[in-house]
Amino acid sequence: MTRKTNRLLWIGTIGCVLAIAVGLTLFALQSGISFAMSPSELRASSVKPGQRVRLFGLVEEGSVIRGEGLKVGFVLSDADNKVKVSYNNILPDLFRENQGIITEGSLGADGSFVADTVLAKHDENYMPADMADKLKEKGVWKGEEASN
Amino acid sequence: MIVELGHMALLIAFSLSVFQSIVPMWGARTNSSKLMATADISSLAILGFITLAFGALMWAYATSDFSVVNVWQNSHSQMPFLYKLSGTWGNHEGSMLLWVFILAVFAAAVGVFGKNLPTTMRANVLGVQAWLLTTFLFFIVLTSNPFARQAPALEGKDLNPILQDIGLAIHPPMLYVGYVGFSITFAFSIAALIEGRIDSAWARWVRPWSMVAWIFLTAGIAMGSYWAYYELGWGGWWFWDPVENASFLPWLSGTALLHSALVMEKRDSLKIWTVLLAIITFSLSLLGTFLVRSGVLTSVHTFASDPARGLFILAILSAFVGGALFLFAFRASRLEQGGLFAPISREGALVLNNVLLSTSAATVLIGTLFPVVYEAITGAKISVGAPFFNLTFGALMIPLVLVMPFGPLLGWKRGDIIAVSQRLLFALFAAIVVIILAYGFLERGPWIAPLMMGISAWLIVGAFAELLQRSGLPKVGLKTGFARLAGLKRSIWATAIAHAGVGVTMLGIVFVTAYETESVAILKQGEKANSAGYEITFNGYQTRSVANYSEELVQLTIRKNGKIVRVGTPSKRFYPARQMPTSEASINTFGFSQLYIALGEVKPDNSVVLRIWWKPMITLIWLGSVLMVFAGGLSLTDRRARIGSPKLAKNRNLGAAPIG
Amino acid sequence: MLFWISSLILLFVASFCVVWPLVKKDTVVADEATSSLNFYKDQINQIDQEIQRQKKPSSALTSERAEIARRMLREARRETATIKRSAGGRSSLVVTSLAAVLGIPILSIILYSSLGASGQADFPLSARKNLSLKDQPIEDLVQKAEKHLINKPNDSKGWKLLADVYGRLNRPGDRARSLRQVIRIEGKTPILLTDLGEALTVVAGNIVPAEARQMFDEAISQDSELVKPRIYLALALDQEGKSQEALRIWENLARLNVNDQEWAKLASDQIKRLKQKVGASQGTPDRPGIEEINAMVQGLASRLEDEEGTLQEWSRLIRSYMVLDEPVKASLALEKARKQFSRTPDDLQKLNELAKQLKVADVVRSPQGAKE
Repeated sequence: MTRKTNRLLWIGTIGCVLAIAVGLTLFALQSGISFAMSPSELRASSVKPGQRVRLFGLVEEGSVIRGEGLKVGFVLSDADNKVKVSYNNILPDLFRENQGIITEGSLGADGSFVADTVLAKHDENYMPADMADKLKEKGVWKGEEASN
Repeated sequence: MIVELGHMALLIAFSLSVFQSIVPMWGARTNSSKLMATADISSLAILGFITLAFGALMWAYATSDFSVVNVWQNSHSQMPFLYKLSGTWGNHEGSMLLWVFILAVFAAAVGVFGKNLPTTMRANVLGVQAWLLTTFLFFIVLTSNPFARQAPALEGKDLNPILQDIGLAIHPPMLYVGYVGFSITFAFSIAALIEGRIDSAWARWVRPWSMVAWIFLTAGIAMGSYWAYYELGWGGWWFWDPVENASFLPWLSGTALLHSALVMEKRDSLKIWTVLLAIITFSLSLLGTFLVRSGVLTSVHTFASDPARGLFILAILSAFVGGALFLFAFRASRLEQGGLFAPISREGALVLNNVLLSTSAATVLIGTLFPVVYEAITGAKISVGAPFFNLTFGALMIPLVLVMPFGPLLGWKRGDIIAVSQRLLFALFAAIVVIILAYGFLERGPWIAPLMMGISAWLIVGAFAELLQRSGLPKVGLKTGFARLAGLKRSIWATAIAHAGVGVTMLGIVFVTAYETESVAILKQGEKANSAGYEITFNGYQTRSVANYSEELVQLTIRKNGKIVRVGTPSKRFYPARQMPTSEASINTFGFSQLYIALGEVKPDNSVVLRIWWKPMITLIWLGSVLMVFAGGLSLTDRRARIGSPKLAKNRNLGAAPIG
Repeated sequence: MLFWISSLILLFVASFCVVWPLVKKDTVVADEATSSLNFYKDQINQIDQEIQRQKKPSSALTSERAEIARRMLREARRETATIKRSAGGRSSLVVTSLAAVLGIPILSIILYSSLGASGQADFPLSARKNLSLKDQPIEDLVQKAEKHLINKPNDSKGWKLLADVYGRLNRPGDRARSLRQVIRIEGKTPILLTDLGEALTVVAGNIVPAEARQMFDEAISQDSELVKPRIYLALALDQEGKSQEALRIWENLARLNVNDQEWAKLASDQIKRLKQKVGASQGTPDRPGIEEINAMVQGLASRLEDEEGTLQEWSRLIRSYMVLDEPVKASLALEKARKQFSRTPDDLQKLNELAKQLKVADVVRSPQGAKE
């Protein structure tokens, strides 16, 4: 094998791996990402029913309704807008009213949100930065409220 | 007084590291042996003072001294003693101090064990270490001082309950040792760039350090994964969460570094790439420790982030990463180039390994940072989920795994692919058998799962091909064969075991991903639920109060074929000081598989909601990592890798040296 | 003092560590002992051993040995070309020594003096236990009680006791939390509501929050004889600027036959103060307090005209009419309310009691009964 073919072979191999990686990345980025939005953004956006999104907001006080079995419904709000969320699984430990949470799922046909994942933060002072920004903008942020 | 002395010691350590940042390197430039000699002793002194500081903080935690703000914020007088201690690093300030402490340990280790390094090299390496120490001590003192005081408070605010766990006591320090260990390779690279000279001896010096770092990083990641698995109560073992990715990135590039350093040591080439890889690996480590904390990325499990610190951290990050890459761009051309080599050869295979590992690291990095970039450009918030990583990373891993058994069998310079393929026939055979069996016996699950199992088998069995080849088994007969096996260099064993470990982990991942079952059961007292042939009976529940929490404990009996095999007690705990609940899952191991039961809630009518997972072969994931860690340790005991002085080694050789 | 002595020792150790190699007798290490050459030698040694062990050396090993030997030669050539080490110039040594002896302690002390708290002693748990003998028992007691109640959250007596203790410890927030638990278990009794409202008011710095105001209203509607909620209601009204109404309540309260000098004095003080306040605002022709209450009552009335209201709303409407001195309207409202609650005897009875209490006349008995 001459030096030249050797070099070409290497360049070819590395090029191939890179091309595949770039292709995969682009392909996966189209399907693998989901938008994260607050209730207001969800209302304003053109998200179609069935498209996966992340929805974050505060669980509105008094809105949690437990149905039979594990069914649970609650309202996520960001001061301007509210979205009804239904969920049929065990809620995380830290789920409670007035707590910032993230849900993942899609819009149902009736405009309510069907979540299949609910995440609550494992630090009571912690709120996802993106959400804190939004809530601060709207003046609903309840950072470190006294626990009594 | 002890607390204040700790504070003083921390500041002295800072002053010393300022000194060490300048003097030894100046000595290296002016060829002054005395100036350079200060580095060894001052790195030891810095370690001593940081140990004092860390000890003082730990003492404050142990005695619940709530006049220290940091202790007051993260401790409680009624916590179990172990968690009082582990609380020392269970928060931002304390963990930063731990980080710096480990940095000092590594620097001192270079001073002590690096006597066989050229003097200028050692002075430069210790100088670069001192830059890091200075910067991070400055960061601690300025923004995250763990020794800040306040008027004494009667009771603390408690450690985040999720962190009150034995897993936390060990796993972050492990990860830190891993991250910080790569600072040594970074320092070596910078030193080489400054001196403008690098040879294969350099790789020999760097390899043991990166091996130590890699071992701890592997162990840390595996423990972190297991911790998340049993403590968070979601039954997941890997979430592609930014924090996890951040620890995985340096692991990927560190693995690549281990392999490329091998090429450099043996063949005196791939030098520039290795230097770059060392810089990248430590940069990714910094990213791992700090980017998540800067608040730029959000993650499900991080310490609360503070934007003021975030900016500082970003500045440090860009200074070190940017500075190092800048230096690299300027000086790399001065380093001697190595030649190209044949694609079919050991070094060729190692280069392919590097290409694939670094590409996959790049895709993970892209997935992790994409949301930040996307938001900066469009303003919309997105999250990149597991599907992205599974697809890109998975696709890149398959060729890597397929080629892996070939690597160790190929000779240096020029390999014989046909001969090697013949030796791997039995691994292929094993893979085919596994695929057929999997298709025959496992009913549900995606079609690809049995194929992936076959690939895992190919990797596990193929990993031992080199051992077989070297021992001459089975041709030479068992006796000579085993004698030869025992006499093999430990590094060869280490390679085989580490590669098999990757296969074992992969097998576990495939099994769990394809065949795990999840069910939710609402049970009244005496009712039963079924999962994977196990019958779970709910016997009742009790509430009780323990130390600094109270818990609701559910009693379950698990039966198989009517016989009681386990008793499970999943529970929910409540920590009043933080008004915070946590779940404790009941995890029952059967063989390599686990029955994972988490308590959802106790309903008002006294029925309980249970979430039950059957996790087939899940422990293989961590067993594989244990194998990798063990293999790493084994390769360190190979005397070729020993850091000790050559003279010592020679003396040992003169005696009737035991093999190995 | 002990602290500064210890610090000085630490500082001395730090300086000494770095000065020592600078001032001790020169020990320029024979440089070849610490160079790459040695590394190569070692490598070759190992290969030689390997070759010995294998007896029949493989070609790979011999070629590896040759390659290393070549690298070694190159390195040796390079190294002889490079410089000899020196101990370093005198001046640089002096400067560095000075930096070590002076710079390190000075930098440390400057930093410490701006960051540290040199006087502050440690304050571990053990010291706390001995120190605060007086406070500790109550703190302990409260903690024990909290713990007990976590296990038995339905122990209303326990919560009540805890609420009392919190009240005495001046921890209104905790008191409110405990009282909420009692209410959860025992239901809304007027006394509990009043206590909770009081706690919330104290938390809010003696400003009656909306939630507390509702509680006082509710307590009064359940038992209008209670004094405490009326006092707080008066406070709330006063704070809302409705001094006239506050005055009215105090005037009613003063009429209570209590043989208590202090009470009489308090009541008369309040009345005097409120009268002054009302008098001050008398200059304005219309009385906004009454105006507002009229509007509110009208709003309530028209709403109840359209839709069925709750018992409380009706009670409030009737009460308001009596307060506004409109007994006829009150009677009419009572009649409508009776009609609405005719099917629920419990509510009907409460209405009747209310009517009796407020002395609302029945419309039916009057000659104009048909008017509706």
